[in-house]
Amino acid sequence: MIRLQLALGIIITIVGLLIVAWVGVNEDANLAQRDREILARRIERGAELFERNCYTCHGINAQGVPGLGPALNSREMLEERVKEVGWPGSLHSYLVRTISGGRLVSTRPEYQGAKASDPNAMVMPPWLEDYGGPLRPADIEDIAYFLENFEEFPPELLEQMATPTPAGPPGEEDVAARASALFIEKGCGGCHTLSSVPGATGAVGPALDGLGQRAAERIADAAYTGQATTAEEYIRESILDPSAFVVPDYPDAMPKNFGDLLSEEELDILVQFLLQQ
Amino acid sequence: MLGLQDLRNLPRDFERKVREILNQDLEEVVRDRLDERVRTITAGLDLEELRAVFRGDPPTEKPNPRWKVHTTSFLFHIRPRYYQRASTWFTHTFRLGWLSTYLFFIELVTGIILMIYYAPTPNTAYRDMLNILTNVRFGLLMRDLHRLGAELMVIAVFLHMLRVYFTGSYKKPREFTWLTGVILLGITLFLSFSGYLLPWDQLAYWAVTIGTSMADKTPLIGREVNLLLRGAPDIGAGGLLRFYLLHVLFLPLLAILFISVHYYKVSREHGISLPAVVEEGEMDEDRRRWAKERIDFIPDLLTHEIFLSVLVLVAMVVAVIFWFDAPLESQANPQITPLDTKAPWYFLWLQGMLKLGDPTWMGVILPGLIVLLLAAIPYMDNNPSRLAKNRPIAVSMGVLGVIVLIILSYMGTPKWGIETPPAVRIIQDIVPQEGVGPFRKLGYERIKLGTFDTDTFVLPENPDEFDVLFAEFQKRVKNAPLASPRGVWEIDLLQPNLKRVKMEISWTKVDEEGNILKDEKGQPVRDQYEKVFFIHEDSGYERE
Repeated sequence: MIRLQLALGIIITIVGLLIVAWVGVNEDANLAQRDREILARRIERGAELFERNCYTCHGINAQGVPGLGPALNSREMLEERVKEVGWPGSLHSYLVRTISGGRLVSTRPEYQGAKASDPNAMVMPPWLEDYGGPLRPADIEDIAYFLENFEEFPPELLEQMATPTPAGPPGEEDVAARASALFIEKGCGGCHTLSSVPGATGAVGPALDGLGQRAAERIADAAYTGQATTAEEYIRESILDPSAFVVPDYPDAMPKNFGDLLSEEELDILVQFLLQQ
Repeated sequence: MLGLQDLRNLPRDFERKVREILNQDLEEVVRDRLDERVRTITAGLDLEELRAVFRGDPPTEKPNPRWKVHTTSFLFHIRPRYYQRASTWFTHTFRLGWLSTYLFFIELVTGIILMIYYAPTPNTAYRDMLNILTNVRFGLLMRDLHRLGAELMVIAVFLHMLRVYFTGSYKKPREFTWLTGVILLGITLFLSFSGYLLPWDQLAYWAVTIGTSMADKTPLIGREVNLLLRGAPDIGAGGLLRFYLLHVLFLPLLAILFISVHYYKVSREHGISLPAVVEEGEMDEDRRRWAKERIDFIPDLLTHEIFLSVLVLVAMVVAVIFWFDAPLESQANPQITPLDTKAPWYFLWLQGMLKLGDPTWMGVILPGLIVLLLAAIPYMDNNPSRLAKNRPIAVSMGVLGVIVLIILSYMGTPKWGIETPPAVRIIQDIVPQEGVGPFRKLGYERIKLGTFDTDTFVLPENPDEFDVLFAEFQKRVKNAPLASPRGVWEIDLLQPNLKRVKMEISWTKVDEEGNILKDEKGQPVRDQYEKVFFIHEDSGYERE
């Protein structure tokens, strides 16, 4: 028994050492692999956090919201910005610092963020828990990793994205879906609440639920200062020339350039969609 | 002073010295010197004896020099010189006591290595875990070994206790050994449990939150016990530090103390019990004499233990490399309670009991009584026989206890007695909040872009894994106890290597009597549950 156990023990030891050596040989590659995986998962988490916290001012795809917050969806652009403000550190540290501490005042007057609705608010609130925000240091880093991951779409990917859904005949639902998408894409939800569009929970401007009905009441009101005579015209006017009539108690903060941002067709779809709310 | 005469004598002295050396038996000189060294190292065995030991030959000198080792060496003096043959039978002990101790040492070694890379604060703990995985060579191996060792140790200690119970080895005169064993079971559980919190991930945080919330239910001093344990009303920096110190300092010291006491009783006072059949059963007297023969520790049992040590360690290393991964979820977040939180598996029975009634009774008083009962077994059981056939009540109680424990543990899992809303359940099963789940398991490449609707989806002729998964989703949505349910997956690209997935289940709202709720326009009101998440190209879920 002793000899058998000694022999077996020696064989097992050698096998064990060989296995450990094999792990050791591959260890550097494995470490690098796990590093990539963990970074990838942090980017996923950062995207989720962005989705939950940042879209009101920076748009659901980080494409920016006119008047509220700049676009963030290009790494190149972010790198430019770091140079422009003269930040001595890395892009990552710039993002982490900005998200952590927010902005007291806007460095670009065209973006007023939370100040658009409340003159006493910070343009961008601090997000780090130490400064009164809701996020922890690791969360903020995750968001930064996510933003740094924005690259230009290569053409072949764009093609693939253009035809993902088997298209059915255009019906009422399709128009509503397109309008919803426009509503999101143009950042309307950053300021306006509309229950039929997910994520549209802004409170800078008036809520748009039941707008069709209310539009008619507004133009009949004595306080109305615009030119519209129908509900449809009222909505169109509110988008193209927001200052014509500002609903009482709300700031005149809506960007005036939606005429340039929307095509005629898009405007029609949006107006029809809002009319039915 | 060296004189001229000395210089003249030098060649002659040198010549004499050389002659002296040459006259000696060179082989003998070397052997003597070597023997001396070997004796020092082996605490008394010379070279020839050592070879006899390895060959399995009988001792070369009298008195047996191998016994001398037990007096000269500290490590051997705590081991007995010999065992009775029957007490070394594998099927009698299954080496479970040895295994528990050995695992404890593996935990000590791997634990100390892990401590180098770990700082117990909420902001660093999780970061350090990631660093161990991505930046420390063999870090993953060490962590997995430590985790596996901890779980095996709980199993080994528990099985050891069952073995001792069913062989009746706790009986007189070994009652006190059993008592220290029960204490060691408790120490093992708390060692494992206190380590559970240290990775500071969601799994750890919420399991320990559940665990310590029971302390809160202790009558009269619940609040104080909870505060003492957590360092604050909730687990935070204070709680983490306390658990860390319990885990790396207090409990290991306590364990070493009680292992020593326990082992001293076993090795010095009563020895390992003989199988009941040898002690009191019907047996041929020759065979009984043979069964009670002495087996020397050196070399028979020492070789066996070294062999087992190597076997267990290599088996663990293989298991860790090929199958076992210590879990690591996302960073602990006191704001988000994940679905399906559960206690560590060895406390599931407690969670099961908690579901049955008042937490003070079920979580504190009853478990306390169970532990007392366990400790008191040898003092209550006055049946002198250790043979299983003579103790039907004790054996059936033991079997019943194990069955109850398994049932309670099952009841502790989230599967039992916890209702999750159907839409949440379906999506949670496909993409769990923590961990991978079947959808992420597909991997980035196989997740298709586009919109998929349970109302219109038809399984294609040659379905891929994605189609099959959606078909399953479709089936579950359609069968869900909801009014006209509909599920939609929208998948698009947010970044060139990041897919955004929106899963949504909507249904018509129904009041308590089953009537469909309608809005002012007469349209049925729809309710929905939605989850948005992202999949990155490199996240490697398909490899898990």
